[in-house]
Amino acid sequence: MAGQASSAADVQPSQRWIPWMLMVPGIVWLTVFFAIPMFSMGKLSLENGGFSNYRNAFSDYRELIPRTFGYALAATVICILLGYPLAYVIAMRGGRRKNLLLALVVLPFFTTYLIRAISWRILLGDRGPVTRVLHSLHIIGQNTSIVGTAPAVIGALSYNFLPFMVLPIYVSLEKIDRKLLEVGPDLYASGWRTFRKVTLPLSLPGLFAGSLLTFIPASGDFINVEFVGSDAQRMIGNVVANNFVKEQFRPGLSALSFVLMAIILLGVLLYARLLGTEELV
Amino acid sequence: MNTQRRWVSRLLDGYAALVLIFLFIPIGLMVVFSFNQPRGQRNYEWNHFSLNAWKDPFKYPELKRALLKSLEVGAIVTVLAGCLGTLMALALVKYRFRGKGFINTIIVLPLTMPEVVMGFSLLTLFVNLRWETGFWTIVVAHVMFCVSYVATTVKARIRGFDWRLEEAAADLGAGPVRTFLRVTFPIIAPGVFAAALLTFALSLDDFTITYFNSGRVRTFPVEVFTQKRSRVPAQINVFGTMILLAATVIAVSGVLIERRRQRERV
Amino acid sequence: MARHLSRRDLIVRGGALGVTGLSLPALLAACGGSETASTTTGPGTSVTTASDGSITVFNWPLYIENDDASTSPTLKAFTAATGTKVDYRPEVDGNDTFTAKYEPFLSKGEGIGGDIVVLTSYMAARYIAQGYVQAFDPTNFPNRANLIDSRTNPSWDPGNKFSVPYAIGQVGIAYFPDKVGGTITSLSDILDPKLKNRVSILDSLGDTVGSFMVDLGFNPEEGNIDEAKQAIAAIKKARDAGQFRKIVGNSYTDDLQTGEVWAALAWSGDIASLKNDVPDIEFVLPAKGALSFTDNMMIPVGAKNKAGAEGFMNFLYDPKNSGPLFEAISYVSPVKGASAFMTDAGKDNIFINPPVGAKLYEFPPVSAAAYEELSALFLEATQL
Repeated sequence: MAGQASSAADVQPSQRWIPWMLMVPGIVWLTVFFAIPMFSMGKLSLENGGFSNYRNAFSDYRELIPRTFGYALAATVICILLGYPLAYVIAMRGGRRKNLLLALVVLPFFTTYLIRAISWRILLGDRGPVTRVLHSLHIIGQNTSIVGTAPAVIGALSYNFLPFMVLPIYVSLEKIDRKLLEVGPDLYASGWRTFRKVTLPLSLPGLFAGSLLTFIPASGDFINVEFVGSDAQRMIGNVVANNFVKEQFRPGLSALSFVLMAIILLGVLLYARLLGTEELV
Repeated sequence: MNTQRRWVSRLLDGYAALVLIFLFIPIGLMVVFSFNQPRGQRNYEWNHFSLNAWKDPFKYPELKRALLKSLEVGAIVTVLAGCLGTLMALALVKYRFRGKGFINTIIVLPLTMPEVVMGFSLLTLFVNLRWETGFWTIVVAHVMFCVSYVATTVKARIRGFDWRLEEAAADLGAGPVRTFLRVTFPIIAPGVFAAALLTFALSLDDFTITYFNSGRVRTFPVEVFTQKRSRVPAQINVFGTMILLAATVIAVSGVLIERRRQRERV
Repeated sequence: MARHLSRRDLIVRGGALGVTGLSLPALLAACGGSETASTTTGPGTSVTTASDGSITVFNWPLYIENDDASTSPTLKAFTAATGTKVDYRPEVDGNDTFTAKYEPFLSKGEGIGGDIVVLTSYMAARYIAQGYVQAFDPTNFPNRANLIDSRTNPSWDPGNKFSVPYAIGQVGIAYFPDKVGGTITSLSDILDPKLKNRVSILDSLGDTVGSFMVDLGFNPEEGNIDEAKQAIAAIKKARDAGQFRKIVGNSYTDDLQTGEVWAALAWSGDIASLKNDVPDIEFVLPAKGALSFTDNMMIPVGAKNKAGAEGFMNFLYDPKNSGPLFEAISYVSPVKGASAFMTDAGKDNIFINPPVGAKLYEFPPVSAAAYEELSALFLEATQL
């Protein structure tokens, strides 16, 4: 490839419209079908009571909102614990098998989301293999089930969004100049210190991006609760999806969606401010 | 390298391997259960081995219809989102202009919104516009979230290309069409192809946004969810396995092509 | 399976939506299932026009053999006998949901792309009162005389001019004797703290509130609102104590199948089907009495093939056709003499022939205002 030659062309003033021409269809699409709906939902959430809708949402769902973000946060932490070492091994020690290993990480997620959820249900159900093993080892009581508990939901969430953690971390680890790492052991005594002083800081953008890409879909999810949770684990997504299915439409509902959106948006904007949007994708 | 470090590396490798295995447990279960003969309507418990579901994958016409519907949606979405997204990527990579950061943010935002919020807000739009939800609203919704994926994927692939080649081609007398076909397209093709595959997969897999905006039309995931009320047949696992196989074939050929290209470059 | 997903008064939701600036019918139409409705309003739909000798039936899930219209012996036999094809759509998943989707068209007297709809009595009463349905032509439907006495001449449709039952069922308790440790005879039994987080109830107001009213010693058919409120309070109390694992309409059989729910308020026919898969499940009608429901066939205004629809009902009201169908779907047939055409196993099946002497109540039609109030309370007690 053409290497470092400046890639973006300076456009003649008379041709300034060219990039815009190219972008118009996409921008119009995103504006009409993404931005405007968001705006109108925000507007909707303020109708009939204004900000009191938000106060009501927070009091009606005072358990639901923290639970949702708590689960999402727990899933994000688990994804880091599982995903970082995996990304590290692939990037640093994958060698020629890097692409193969990456493909293996992504492959499971090309099956339908719902089928994966069904599999989790089979796996964790009262008559499923995991519960049976734990019962027979007397780790959990005979009448304790795994399905319908917070760990089941958090586990399923972590599973489903793990690749979103692995890939960005991998990308940022991959970018690190190997010479830095080779210098490391000479300057510092241990590999651990190289990791802490060089690798980890350089991979932080990927780690942040991965955390965001895990946290966001996890906090909006409702499928996992539907399959491996019970009413006690309901998340914001469940309330939105159920309300819409069962037509129990309350003014607080759009406010609730907006709370979810606003909290996430805040995080994203903060992120974009600090680190730019490149790593996110 | 000292022995301690080697030991740590082994440990790390082992841990990574375990995580990879973890990723495949539910998938393995899905494949295994496609060979189950469920005792009743729902394929939740292992009963005994059977090829019945594989012999008669289209036993339930609704599932087949829904799968075809999903493929149809996927194809249209891939073309539409592919075009829109690629054009945006070209504009963003090739040209310098003011407001680029803003455009980048607009593109990234849909990737950072929970699907529930997007699906629900889009539904409110369709309702306000008095559009009946159905096939075309599914397409509109899918294109909406796929455009961003296409734009970012293509952008990442074509960044760093020396666009002066285009000028050179033009200087040598090639017309714009010829320049595009001979110079530009070969450069962007791998990125566009990758983005198209991704789009197709995303469209095929999407449940949440579709669920809100599909009206009475049922895509495969929506049908699976609806069927769950009364049955979860092993045929669902058969379809899941087939989709996995297709993805594997594509992924493997992708890796092979990439490898060959690397070898050629060396 | 979502027989009676949610019975909520339209006014409640209509009000909520009005203030948010969305129109309810539009939202519901958008939410799902409006392709048929659009036949009357928009292009791009493919509803069979029935003048070519076919009829379209909107029915609940699991109301036909194996829940599979393409292989249903009843439908095949009907088409063979009359030449009329049946476009059978098991898509009524709630009285309110269905009504909300189609009412805008019905109220204008427009067709909804269906020749037969099947709805529960209290909703059927409303359809008749509002003039959304057409009177039967008795000459096309002589077998109407076979309707069982207990369902003849309901107060809301004297002479059964507009409606006849499709099927009858009960709300009882499904449970696993080994898990709950014994026999269950009343709703109070499943509120025992030792079953905490192992019980599910239905999110359908009439069935659940009605069942709790019976358990409290009330007669729901009297339609006493204060008694209904007491029942809702009892539900809320049990829910706050963590008794209910789920309060659902459409997936409770799922949790019974996997064994995570040990006792559930359940619709009879569902459990009959489930028993094939899960033999150790039991179904009981509470000793104090159980709720029963009747789902009625009606011909909506604008039906394209009214005579064909009447022919279909006439066919179903022939006991020799009704017997095998109801043995297959395990609901109670409203047709006299149907059990004569069942096997002995079918005759003894309590789902198909409920025990003689069982006390059965139907949740009565109550005033719109009262229903609205109950609906709001029930929602708060079960969903918030």
